[in-house]
Amino acid sequence: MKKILIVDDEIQILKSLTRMFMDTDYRIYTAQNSNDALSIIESEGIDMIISDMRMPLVDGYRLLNIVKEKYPKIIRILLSGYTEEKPMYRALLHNLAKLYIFKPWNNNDFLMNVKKLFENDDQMNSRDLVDIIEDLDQIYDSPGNCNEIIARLKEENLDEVIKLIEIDPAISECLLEVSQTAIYGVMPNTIRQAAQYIGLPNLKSFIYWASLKGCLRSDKAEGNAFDTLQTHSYLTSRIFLFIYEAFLHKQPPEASMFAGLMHNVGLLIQLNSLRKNADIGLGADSSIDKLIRLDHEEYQHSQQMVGAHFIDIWDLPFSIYEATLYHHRPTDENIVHNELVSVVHIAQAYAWRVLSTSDRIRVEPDVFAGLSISVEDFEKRLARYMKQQKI
Amino acid sequence: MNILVVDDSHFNLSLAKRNLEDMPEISQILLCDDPRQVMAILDEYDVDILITDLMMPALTGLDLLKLLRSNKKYDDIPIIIFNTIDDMDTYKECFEHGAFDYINKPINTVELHARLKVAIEAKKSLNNLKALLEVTKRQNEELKEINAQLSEAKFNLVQSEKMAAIGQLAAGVAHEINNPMGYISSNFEVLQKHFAKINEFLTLYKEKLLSCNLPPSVDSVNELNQKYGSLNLDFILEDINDIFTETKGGLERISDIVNSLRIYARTDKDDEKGYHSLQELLHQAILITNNEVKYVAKIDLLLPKDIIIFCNRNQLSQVFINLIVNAAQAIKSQNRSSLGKIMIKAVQEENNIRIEIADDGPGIPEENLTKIFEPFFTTKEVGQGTGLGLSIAYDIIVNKHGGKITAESTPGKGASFILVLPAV
Repeated sequence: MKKILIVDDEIQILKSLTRMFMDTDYRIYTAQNSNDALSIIESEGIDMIISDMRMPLVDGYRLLNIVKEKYPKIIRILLSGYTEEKPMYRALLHNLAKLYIFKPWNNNDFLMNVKKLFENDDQMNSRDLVDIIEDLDQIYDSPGNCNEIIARLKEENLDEVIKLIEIDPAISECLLEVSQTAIYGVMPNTIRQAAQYIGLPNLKSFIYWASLKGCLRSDKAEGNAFDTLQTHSYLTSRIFLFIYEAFLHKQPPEASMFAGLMHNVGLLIQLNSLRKNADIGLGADSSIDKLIRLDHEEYQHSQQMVGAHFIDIWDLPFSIYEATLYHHRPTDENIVHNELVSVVHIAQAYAWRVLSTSDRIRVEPDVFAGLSISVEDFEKRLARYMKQQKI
Repeated sequence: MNILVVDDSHFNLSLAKRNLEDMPEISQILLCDDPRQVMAILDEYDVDILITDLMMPALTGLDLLKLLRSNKKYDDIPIIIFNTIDDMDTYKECFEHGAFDYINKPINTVELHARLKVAIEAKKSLNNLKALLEVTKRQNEELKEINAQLSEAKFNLVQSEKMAAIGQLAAGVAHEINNPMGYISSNFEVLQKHFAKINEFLTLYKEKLLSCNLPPSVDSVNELNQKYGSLNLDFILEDINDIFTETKGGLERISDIVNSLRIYARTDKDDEKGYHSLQELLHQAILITNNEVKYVAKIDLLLPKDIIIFCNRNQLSQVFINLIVNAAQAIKSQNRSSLGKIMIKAVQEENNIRIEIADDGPGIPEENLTKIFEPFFTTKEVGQGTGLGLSIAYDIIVNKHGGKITAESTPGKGASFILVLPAV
């Protein structure tokens, strides 16, 4: 039986959440302050913590930080009564929670998301993934300044991060490349502008992208295939942001700007790792059709798992994790961020379509309806946008 | 200088003209043989000095004099009378009606020049005076306008400080409302589920007991009993009771907060004062600031007996809220591991009401104690405060309510603000 701990200084909230879980199979624990919460975790072995943000003395931000440090296996949900920007921003930056729920909440959605989070968790801990990861014959090292930059990011020091990017030619070049090919609308011209536009929480995704790209470049032989995959990721990112802006009329969720860019890191890592093995790897054939076949068929399952695994290790937001894990099956019932995953699914498919005429590229028929977007309208406007951008 | 000469005799006119022509101060000489035309000429030309004969048909010099003196527009033109008669009574009457001087006929050049020069000087000073008055008047108007702008600006400043304070509190208030909203709406969903179960039982009850005319069979009763147990109705009924109690509490909390905010948000341009309960005012200020305070401090309210106070309710609330939020922020700045304390004490003294709001925060350095009531003085970070809060509090207490506000502090131990207001 899964154990859930709810922490809130307000007893009525604890009571109502306990009531909400009444007909479920979870064992519920409650605590009115962070110290009690920590001792319950210590003695009971908790699977999920749902914590209020604002509490006297040790607040939810600090509590979840401690839990993340000491008990990384516990699934963290942050419950927030109001939208004070600063603590929320910091919580996002430090990826303190898989899910952010605002008061007042909807019981059904809340329960469903809890269930999904547990199932996701079980999946990632399955034997399947462990086998795949063990098969990767090398995990790349973060080159150059990446680790240093991530450390500065955690200190919320944008100026220092910009300085470090500026002195590293490879990362600088990559940032300009990303800001000119993976962003919709404005295209910043300098490192500072680009970094400021992207913002700290999204820069973290970028740094991992740049570091991955650095590793891929080491071998020239299959350069073409990697170049194609990168082009596809940039294009996906752009279409992803285009859909949010032009069709959903909003920004992607906080810290998820690069969900499109990151969606295929699994395939990149897997190909990089397996490239010496001509049978299952890329071999001599690095055509787009081959890549599409690998993406959609041979590696579909494993590359999504590998990608999600790394997003998890890199401590990137759960929304990007889901985009990586589910971008080929956006109607999976365990998805929490349905909208975002649907958009990534459409974006990656149409990015392939821009690059190739292969008939393997599938778009789930229901996702457009789910987003209330008409396919014809989307295709027309996308074609116009691509033409404008000379892609 | 423009001179108008009025005389029915053309001979006199041309004589006057000849005599006047060699005076350098005179720029224009206007001649008129019909006194009835004078008004039209004055309207058309800018006449500085008027010389008129006394004995004229149709309108005498005296009539003309009266006419001009009764017209506000021309009552300051020096008028000189030509006269041939050595008649003291007529002179007297002329002077009584505001004649400036007289000139005897036949015209003597020396006399004419001498008397005219005096008139010219007089008119010059008058013109200067008038110009000066005009300037003063204009400056006065400008000052009035600037003054109006200033008080408008001050009103706006006070208003914007109030709005800034509200903005700062709004996030907290949203939190205060979202908490009860959170459990009320969640409980409501649970209530729907509870109702579905009760409904399920009642449907069975209707089917087994109400719809048959026979006495209920043992089977039916057993089935109902079993249903009652399996639906866990004992628990549900008790839980519904709890939900009602909790929801009622939550709704009261929300309406309290909304009410206190509504009162705070009115603009009261008119400084209207009335009799109010100090307890209620303090209670509301504490309620509004609750979210700002409760995570950092506990408030102790020491008010042995409610005090009625004659004040502008919104202004005084604003002061209380400002002082409470300041106290909470001071305590918060210390990042301490236990809750701080804010003490609010009010007592009725013989002629005064004394209210003290004290905190056990870091206190105020001595060198700042004298500056805190100055506008724009702030020790907070840029963007954290306008530096107007306490200066507005000072204005409200001292200027608007005839009271006193002072601050005391022992650095490291805390600060306290003392308001003394005249008793009712």
